[in-house]
Amino acid sequence: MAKKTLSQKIVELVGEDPNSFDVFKEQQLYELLKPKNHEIGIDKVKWRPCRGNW
Amino acid sequence: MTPNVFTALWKNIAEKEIKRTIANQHKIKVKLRENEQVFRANTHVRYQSERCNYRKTIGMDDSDKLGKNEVAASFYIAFVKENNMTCYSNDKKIRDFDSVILRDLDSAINHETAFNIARGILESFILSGNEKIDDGYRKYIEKNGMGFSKGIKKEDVLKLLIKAQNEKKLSIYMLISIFLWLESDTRHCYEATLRG
Repeated sequence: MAKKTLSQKIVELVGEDPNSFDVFKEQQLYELLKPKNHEIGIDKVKWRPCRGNW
Repeated sequence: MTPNVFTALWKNIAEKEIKRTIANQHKIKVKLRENEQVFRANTHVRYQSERCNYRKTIGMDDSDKLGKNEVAASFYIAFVKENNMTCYSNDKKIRDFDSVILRDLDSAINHETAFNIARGILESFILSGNEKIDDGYRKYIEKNGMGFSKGIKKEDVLKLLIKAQNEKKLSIYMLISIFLWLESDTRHCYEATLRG
C-alpha cells in the first residue's frame, strides 16, 4: 500500500467538516506537524559565526 | 535559553557580526542606539518572549525542544525588532538625503546582520554534532556555510523580510520557512558538488 503523504494525513485528520475538529484531533495534528527533532541540545551547541559571503 | 547559553551565542556570533557590520561602513557609518550590553539584555528578553509565544501558539509540550530553525527565527525577530543599528554620516551630502532613504538603510543594515547571525546559528547546530548528518555535508557547511543556489539574491529575501516587518507581518513561521528553504538549497548545492 502506498505511503500516505503529509497532506493526505492532514486531510484525513481534519475531515471535510471543520466543526468536527476537536481538541483531540488538534493534538494529533500537532504531533503530525511538529518537527522531528534530531537536533543537538541547545546547551551543547558550539556557536560560531556564519561562513561564506552569501 | 539560559542567560549563559545566550551570552555564549551573543559573544561568538552576534557581537562578531555587529562589529563586522560597523567596521565595513565608510561614508555611511553604523552605530548602536543602545549600548551593547543593554542591546544584548533586551534582545534576550525579546527572544524569550518570541520563544514562549511560539511554544504556546503551537501547543508544544514542556519536554519538546525548539529546533535550529525556530531558535534562529526567534533570535532574528528579537534582533530586528527595535532596529537598534542605525546609520549616520559626517558627509553633508549624505546627511541631506531624504530621511526615508536613511531609515531604509537602517532596516537593511539590521536585517542583513540578523540574517548572518541566523545563518551562524543554523550552521552552529549542524556542525556541533548530530548523527543524522553525513560527514561530507558537514564538511561542506564547515567550508562554505549555508547559502541559496545561484539566482536567488540576498537582497530580494531581505527586502521581503523588511517589508513584512514594516507591515507588522514578520513572523516566526515566515522565517522558519525561509530557513528550511535555505537548508534545502544548501543541500542541493552540496549534492551538485558530488556529481562534479
